[in-house]
Amino acid sequence: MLVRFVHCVGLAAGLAAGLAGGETRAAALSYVSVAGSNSGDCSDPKTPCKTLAYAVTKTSTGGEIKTLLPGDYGPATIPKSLTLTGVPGALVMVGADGVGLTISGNSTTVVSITGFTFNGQAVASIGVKATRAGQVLVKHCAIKNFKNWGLEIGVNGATKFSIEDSFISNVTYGVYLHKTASTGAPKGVVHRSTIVGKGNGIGVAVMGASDVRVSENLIGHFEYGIYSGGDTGNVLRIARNTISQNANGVFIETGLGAKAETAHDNFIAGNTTTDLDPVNGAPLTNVGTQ
Amino acid sequence: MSRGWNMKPLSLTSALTLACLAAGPALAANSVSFVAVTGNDTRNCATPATACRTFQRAHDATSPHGEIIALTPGDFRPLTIAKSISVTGVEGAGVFGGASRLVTVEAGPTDVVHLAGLTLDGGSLSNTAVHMGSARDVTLRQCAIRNFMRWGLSTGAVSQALIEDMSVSVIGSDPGLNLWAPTLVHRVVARAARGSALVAGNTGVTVSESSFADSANGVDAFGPVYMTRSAVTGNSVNGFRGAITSAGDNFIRGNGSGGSGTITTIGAQ
Repeated sequence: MLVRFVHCVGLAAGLAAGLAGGETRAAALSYVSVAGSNSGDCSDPKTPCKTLAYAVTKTSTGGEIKTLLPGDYGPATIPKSLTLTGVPGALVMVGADGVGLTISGNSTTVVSITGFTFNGQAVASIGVKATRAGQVLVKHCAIKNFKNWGLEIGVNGATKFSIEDSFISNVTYGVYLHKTASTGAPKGVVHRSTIVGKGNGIGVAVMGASDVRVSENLIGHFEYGIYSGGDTGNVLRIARNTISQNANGVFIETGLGAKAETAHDNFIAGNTTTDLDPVNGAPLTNVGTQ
Repeated sequence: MSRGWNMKPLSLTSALTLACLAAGPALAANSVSFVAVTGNDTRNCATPATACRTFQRAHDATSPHGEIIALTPGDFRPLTIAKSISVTGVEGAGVFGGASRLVTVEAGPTDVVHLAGLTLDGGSLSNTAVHMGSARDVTLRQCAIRNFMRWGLSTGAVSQALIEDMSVSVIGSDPGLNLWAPTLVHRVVARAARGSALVAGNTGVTVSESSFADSANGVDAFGPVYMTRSAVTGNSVNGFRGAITSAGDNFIRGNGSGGSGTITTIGAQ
């Protein structure tokens, strides 16, 4: 009993000392609202903060930021594991040459983004950019009106990613996968998403020994629907996609050691120059369904 | 000493400045504007607390490539779009009759328009839900279009379009979808009670995971139509007319004459 009493006193003293120091503890769950203000710790939905960038600094590693209202929550950089969840109409409006979300953590960083619309207003550069992370999940998001890439996984080290049920439009590259270091590369899936361009660029660009499975997507209105090349050792596997109204449907660079497999259940048709280019590009290997 | 006004004649610039001030404060364009049925068009639309009442007022207050968000269900009145813009509604937000045409897109040749989450109801009186007269790129997603006397969607001088996750129903003898621009049609259910569910013009239409049923004609192809994982069923006169390039995984059955066009099956890849 005495031992337990001493422990309790010690714990209480420690807590009191921490609070007396005026520290605001990072919250596991933070709230933002366009009617909020950037003060306090964002942990109370009755006094939410205003921007994602501020809430990121007030949320503990592994925590979650929720929006409460439609509106613009501004760009942010994510340096740690976080989950961002938007209500319908939650926006990230991005200005000239900007990036909507920059994910720059380490090999154990896990970032999930759900329910946001990223709008580059035809002047911003990139919707969502990951430079270093262990895992990146983008789900039920809309990314549109960016000069360069909708979503860039361009990593220093290995990063797993999943892009699901999302809509990417009016961009030069829809999904741009590559690496910035000699080791590691993006590895993941692009699933059940609609990716449409503006006549130039690439829907899904596979570079830098990336390993990607592309399934159940609609990809159109690019110069290339899917393009694998630019480095050695890319792995591309495709199933149940519709790839149409591009200049070229799917193009695999020859001589770069790329692996390109199809379940033979895609519809790659109605592209204006070529659907598949077996003369200048490598063929897709038909592995069927299992 | 008199303290009366020592009037001097106003310069033209001063007079114009005063006239502008008297007319009300100039409004900076919002990157995001809001509308609500409790809104008011005398407001600036810039926050949920100052939401406007109509889409048109919000459109005029929003900068190019900006966003209009409908906060509540309700009728936000017909809209003419003249620039790049996105309009997004909650469930039940939209335009309910009140004009021959509910949404008109007459934007510039580089403009991009996104419409999402809207209900457009013609009330069996309006002719057309959305006419895409001019723009570079028009996208409609997750919208419901119903009870129009003539067209659901029609395209004019548009470089490309995407229609996705939509239901389109018209009750007259004109097409549900009247598409004369390169268009991707994805997960769309279209019905024209006495006309063609889809008319595909000479610029190419790609159809996936869609249904054209219970119309006079399912698909009228006047140009290339590429089709996969779609159903053309229960149309009283024709399943399809013209030429369809098929993945061989469509279902075209139970139509009046079984089709008076040709299907070229290229299989899957």
